[in-house]
Amino acid sequence: MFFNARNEQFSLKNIAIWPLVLGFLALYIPTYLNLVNGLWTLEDQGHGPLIVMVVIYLFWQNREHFKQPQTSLTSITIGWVIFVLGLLCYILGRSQEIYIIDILSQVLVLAGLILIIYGFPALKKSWFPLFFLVFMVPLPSVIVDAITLPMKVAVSIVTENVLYFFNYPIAREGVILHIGQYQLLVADACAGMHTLISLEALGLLYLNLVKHDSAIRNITLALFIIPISFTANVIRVISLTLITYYFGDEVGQGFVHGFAGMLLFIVALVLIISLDTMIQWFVNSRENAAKTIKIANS
Amino acid sequence: MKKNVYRNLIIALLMIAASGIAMALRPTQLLAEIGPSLSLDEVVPRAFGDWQELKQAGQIVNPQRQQTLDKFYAQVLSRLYVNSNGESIMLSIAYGKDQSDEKQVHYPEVCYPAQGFKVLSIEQGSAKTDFGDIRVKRLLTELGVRKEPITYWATVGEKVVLSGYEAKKVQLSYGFSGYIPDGLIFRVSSVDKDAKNAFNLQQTFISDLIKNISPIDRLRLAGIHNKN
Repeated sequence: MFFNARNEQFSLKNIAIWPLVLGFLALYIPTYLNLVNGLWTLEDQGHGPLIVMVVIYLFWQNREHFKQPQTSLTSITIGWVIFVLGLLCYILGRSQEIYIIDILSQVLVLAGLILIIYGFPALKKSWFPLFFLVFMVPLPSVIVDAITLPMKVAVSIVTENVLYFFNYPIAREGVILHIGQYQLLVADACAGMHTLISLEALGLLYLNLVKHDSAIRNITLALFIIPISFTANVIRVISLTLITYYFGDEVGQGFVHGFAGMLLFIVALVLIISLDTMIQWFVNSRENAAKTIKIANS
Repeated sequence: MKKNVYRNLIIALLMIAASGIAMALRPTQLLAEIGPSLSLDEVVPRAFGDWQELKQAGQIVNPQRQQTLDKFYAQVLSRLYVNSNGESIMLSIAYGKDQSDEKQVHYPEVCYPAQGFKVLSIEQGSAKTDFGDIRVKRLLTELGVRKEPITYWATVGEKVVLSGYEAKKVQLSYGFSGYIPDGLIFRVSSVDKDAKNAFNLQQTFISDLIKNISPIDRLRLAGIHNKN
C-alpha cells in the first residue's frame, strides 16, 4: 500500500511539516537546555554538541530520502509503536533526570516518525545518524569508573616506562607521576573512557564518510580504534609530562593542556587514516594476487 | 485539509503532551529542605564515649581536590578521634543536598586507587549498633607499607546504599513521589597492619557514635529507623 501522491517533503516551505518541527522542539528544547547547563559543561562531555552537529549534518546529507514517502501499512504501524514507546521513554527519562533514557528517546521518536512518514527505505538510510546519537549519552558512572581507572593506570605505567627508558628522572605512584621536581596527576579526563568514546565516535564517523564496502575492513578499523586511542592518550600524557619537565608547571597546565587535547585527536585521526591506508593496501594486494592466480590458472 | 496534515497535527499534539507530562512529573522538592537542616559540624559530637577529637594542625590542602569536593558536596566533615588507649580513627562524612545523576557521592573503592592506594579486598558486612545493624562495606587498602582498613556506607535520602545501582534505585523511588533525595558518604578508617583489629575498633567507634546522636540524626546519618 503506497501513498505517493502527497507532498511530504521535509522542508520548511512545506507547511504540513511545521507541527512536527514544533512538537519536536517542545520535547527536546528542555532536554538540550538541561544539557547545556549541566552535562555539557563537564570537561569529559564536551564532545556532546559536536555529536549533535554531526548528526544534523548527516541528516542534511541524506535529505533526498525525505521527499517521497514509501510507507506501507507495516511501516506505519511499527512506526507508531516505536514513536509512542519513544514518548514514554522521554517522559520517564525527562521527569526522573535519567539522562540516558532522556537522550535515547530521541532515537526512538525520530525512528518512529521516519517510519510513519517516509517508510523503511528512509529509515535504512538514516541508521547511522540515529546510531550516532548514542555517543551523546553519558555512560553510567559504574561502567566509566570500572574502565577509566585501569586505563589511567595503564597509561601511567606505559608513560613511566617509556620515559624511564630514555633516562628521565621519573617515578610513579598509582596514577601520580613524579618527574624532576614536578608531580603530575593523570586525571580522569586525561586518559579515560570519555576520550575513548569520542575517539570511537570520530573513527566511526570517518568510516561512514569514507564509505567502505568491505565489512571486514570496517570491523577491523572499528576494533583498532581502542588501541589507537590508548596510544594517542599515551602520546598526549608523555608530551605533557615532558613539557612540564622542560618548561614548568605553568606551561604544562595552561594553554598547552588544552592544545594537547587537540593533539590527541589529531594523532588518533592520523593513526586511523594510516591504518586504513595500510589495510586498503593489504586488501588490494591480496585481490591483485588472487586475480593473478586466476589469470595464471585460466 | 489533507490526511497527512491531520496526522502531523496529532503527532505534534502527542509530543507537546509528552513534554507537559514530563514537566509535571519532575520531582521538585528537595528532601533536604524538609525539616531542620543538617549541620554535620553540630550533629557529630567532638567528644563521645571514650573518644576525643584530636585537632590536626597544618593539613595539606590540595586545591584541585578541594575544588572537586566543593563541586560535589555541600558539606564535608573530616576529623581525627583518639580513645584512652591512644588508638585513633579518622572520620569523614561528605554530604550532598542533591543526589541526582551527576552529583552522586563517590565511593572509596574508586577514589582510593586513583590516589595510588591499592584496594586489597572489599567485603560487605554490617556494623552492629544498639539501634540496629548498618549495612557497610569493608575495604582493605594499602599504600606502600601503609595499610588502611576502611569501613563505610553511603545513604540516599533515609536509606543506606552500597552501590551506584542501589543508589539509583532509591533515587528513583523518591523521584516518583516527587522528592529529590540528599545523600552522604560516611567513612571511618585507621592506619593499622592488623585488619581485624582495625575493623573491630571501627565497629566500636561507629556504635559509640550512633549511641551519642539524636534519633533523627541516626536516621539521617545511618538510615536507622529504630527509635528506642
